[in-house]
Amino acid sequence: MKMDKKKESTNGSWYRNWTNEHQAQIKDLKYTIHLFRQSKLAMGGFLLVLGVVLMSVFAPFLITHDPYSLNLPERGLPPSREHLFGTDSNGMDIYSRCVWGGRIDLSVGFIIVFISTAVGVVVGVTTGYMGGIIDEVFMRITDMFFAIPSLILAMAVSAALGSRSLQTIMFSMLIVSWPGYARLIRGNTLAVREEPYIEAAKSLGASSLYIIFKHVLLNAVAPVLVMATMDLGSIMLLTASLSFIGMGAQPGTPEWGRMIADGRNFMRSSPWMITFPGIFIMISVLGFNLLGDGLRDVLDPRLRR
Amino acid sequence: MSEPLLSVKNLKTYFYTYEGVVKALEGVNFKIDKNQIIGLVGETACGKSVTALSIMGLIQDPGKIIDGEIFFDGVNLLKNSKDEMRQIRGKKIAMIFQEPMTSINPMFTIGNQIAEIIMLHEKVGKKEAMGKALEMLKSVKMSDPEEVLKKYPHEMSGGMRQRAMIAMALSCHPQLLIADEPTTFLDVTVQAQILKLMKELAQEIGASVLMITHDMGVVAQMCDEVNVMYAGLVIESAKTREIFHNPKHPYTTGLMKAVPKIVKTNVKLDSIPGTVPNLITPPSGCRFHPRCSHVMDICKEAIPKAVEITPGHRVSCFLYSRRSDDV
Amino acid sequence: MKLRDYILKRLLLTIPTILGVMSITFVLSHIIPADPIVMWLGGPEAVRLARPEVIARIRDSLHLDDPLWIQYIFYIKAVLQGDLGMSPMTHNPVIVDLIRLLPATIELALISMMIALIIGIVAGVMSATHKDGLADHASRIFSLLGVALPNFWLALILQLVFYYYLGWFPDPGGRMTDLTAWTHPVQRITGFLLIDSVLTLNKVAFFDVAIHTIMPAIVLGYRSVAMITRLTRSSMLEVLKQDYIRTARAGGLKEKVIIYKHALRNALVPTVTTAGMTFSYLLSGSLAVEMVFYWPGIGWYSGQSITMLDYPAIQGVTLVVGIIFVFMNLIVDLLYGVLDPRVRYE
Repeated sequence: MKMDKKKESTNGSWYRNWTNEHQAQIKDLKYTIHLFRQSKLAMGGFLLVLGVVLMSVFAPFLITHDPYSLNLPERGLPPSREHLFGTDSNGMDIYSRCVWGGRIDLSVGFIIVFISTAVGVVVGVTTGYMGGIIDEVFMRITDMFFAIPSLILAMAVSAALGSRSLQTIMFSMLIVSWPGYARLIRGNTLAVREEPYIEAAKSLGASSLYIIFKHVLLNAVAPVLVMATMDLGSIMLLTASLSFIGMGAQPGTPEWGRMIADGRNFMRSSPWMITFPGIFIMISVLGFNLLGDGLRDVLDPRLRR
Repeated sequence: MSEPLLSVKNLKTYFYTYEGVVKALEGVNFKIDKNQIIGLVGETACGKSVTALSIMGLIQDPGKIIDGEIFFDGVNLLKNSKDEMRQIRGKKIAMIFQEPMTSINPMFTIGNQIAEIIMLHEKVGKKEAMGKALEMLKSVKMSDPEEVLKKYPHEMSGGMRQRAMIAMALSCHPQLLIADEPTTFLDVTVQAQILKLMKELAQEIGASVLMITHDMGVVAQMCDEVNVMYAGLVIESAKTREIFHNPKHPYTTGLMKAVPKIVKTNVKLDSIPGTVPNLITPPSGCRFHPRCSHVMDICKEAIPKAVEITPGHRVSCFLYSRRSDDV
Repeated sequence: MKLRDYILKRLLLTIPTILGVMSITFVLSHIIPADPIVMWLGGPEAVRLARPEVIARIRDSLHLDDPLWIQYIFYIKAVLQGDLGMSPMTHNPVIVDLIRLLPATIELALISMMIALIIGIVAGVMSATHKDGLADHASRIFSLLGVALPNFWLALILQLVFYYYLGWFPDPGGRMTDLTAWTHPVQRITGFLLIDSVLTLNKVAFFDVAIHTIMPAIVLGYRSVAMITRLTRSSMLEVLKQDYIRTARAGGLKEKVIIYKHALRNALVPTVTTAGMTFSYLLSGSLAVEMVFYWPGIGWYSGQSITMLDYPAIQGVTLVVGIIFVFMNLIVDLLYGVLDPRVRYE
């Protein structure tokens, strides 16, 4: 009998075995998705985000004109059938630039969130696991970062780096973002470290760092996901703000904040130059905020049955 | 026979929730006379607290009292306006709750909170109210009452907090005190003190007490009469001694058997088989029938009506009568 | 007694944090690509014309050849003495520029904060007590949008609508119209125009300044309104579920008293603590808002510094903003201790 069971697990499809082993987690996931579907806010956010992402991915098929080419004879035109949102002071089609702009802001956001999370995990687990003076130092350093409002700090770092470009602000936003994730993961590590099953696993011979790492990752997925989603919204706003004040995307780049800055001088005569990019910013950030809020409510252990 | 102080007749309270209608009270009947301490016992979720809240007029959405009468001092409380009920609460009927830590506002001092109620109902100024609050704290035998006036709830022990709650409740000398499991979260030694205090104070003020509890020991110590509740209905009521020595309803009998008696040491601890019913889809007829060892066909069809089998001892069970609400 | 200890403890804790802020600006000042000598002298031309001994003396006084940690100590010393370097843009010491411009920003931030708190708390309470009603849904939508709107964009749109199209508000240029500034100048007592014009009974100037302040305050503050409303709403909802509210009802207290005294008092605690975070948004927001409204504060100053790549100015602003923020958090912490009796008696 025992032999048969063993045979089954090595000969059966790996997918089925994996699913069988993780029954509890799968049921949990299904329940999460169900709760998520029920929350109107979360679904709304999800749809908005999906819309923005799809728009950016399929941008090459959605645009009507080249978002980068100058076309001076057609500058300053109001919205029309040919130019859905009108043209800006260089004759470039605003609609195409708005659609293309999604690529810029989204990619900046995702890159920063991914790297911040990665750095945050490494630093957070290390300092949480080691504790002691390393942890103290870490906490003081992150305190310093939190003491200055993000926009100001990002601005200062960008200025210090000298050049004004998207890459520069990306780096400075990275610097501003990572402490949040590191602290979150550190908190998780500290909690997991005290759990009784760590002792149990250790007594069975597993390496404690590996166990902690695995459990922290499992545990942290939910709050990190929430943080990352809301962060994406904040980063998009930061990018737009920094570009607006002149730090980030340079004139000509179809970044939404930059477009507003470029169109500012003509806003009296041609208000469409600033209206549409702003709407795109608002909808994207709103989407991520709603999604983040919805996720947070759904994943909150207190609210689950 | 003078008029009872409180007379609850056929009280029905339902909760209209997302999952369905919870029929929490399905026709509760009992009465309290002046200067009496009456017990209301039953398992958790049998409707004891809901009964208390219904009397106080504190049932909120999604709950609703859909039928019945609650006569207090000659007036049907259910016909009162919100404002009229508000004036009765704290002044004529007062209530204390089981968790003293969370039941007192952490932002204000004890003195402040007691004085507030006094000022509201007795229409006196702050200084006078504080003076009365001090008197109240002395009468609940609070140590160092002047200091306590200025203390916050988190600075006091559980026993002290419960005394403070009692002081707050009795500050305006109500005619009825409803105590919802007041000693559950207290140490055993403190429990006895608090119960003794409540009994003495009630006598002093001339108030009646509705003692809600699941602990038969408390009943034995405090109550003149007991009402036993199960799944939203009072199924038996009698003098305390009667209930202990002569329980009639199968549920009450089961309850008595499950209480460990120190005297008899070699009796097995029985437990009543089955679990508390779901009140959204309660059992048909008598709600206890699925767990009853004496169940008969009629029990599944109708809810038995209460009959007085001996003076002062009422039971709702088809073992003792053929009468039901529907007959 | 305990309250005083709490205050003292919090005050002492700010010192390492401020040190931390200074460390960050120090690090930043050493990353910048510009040559400190060039910056100090005011331009590459001046460097070329200067004699080698002069340059050597400057190097010495700036401690450029000393090890890093010595430079750090001198940097801290200089900052504590108020020396934040020279701004090549304005040719003033940075500290002088900042002192001149700071009051305008603080005034704007404080007014926005006050508006935000009043509107936010009232809206939050209304929302919570009339849950799922029309007002509740409206304020929730407003809050959600408010957090997603870029403030500079809102500023421009409002300008378009209220100035250019409707003509209700004056030219978005600074704090007073030039004519009024000339005919009814405000005597500088505190540096806060609104207060000064009241103190000197300068009615005309007061109204002019007030009219110019409304729009920037709304734009700067709306994000805070959104956050405070949301937070107050959720705190109130939490608080109203608590046992002590039930006790208050059982005592026969009036509903209004229960909401505005018992419940609100408890709900305010988390709101106040988040007010500190809102201030961070006010400070950051002032960057763009001052630029758009030509408001003569440090936000506008930063904007100019960025365009001209005036490094000392940018660092000076970062340092000052950081310090203000630390103090704001300190005040919030202290308020927390005053409001919540449980905190003091740890």
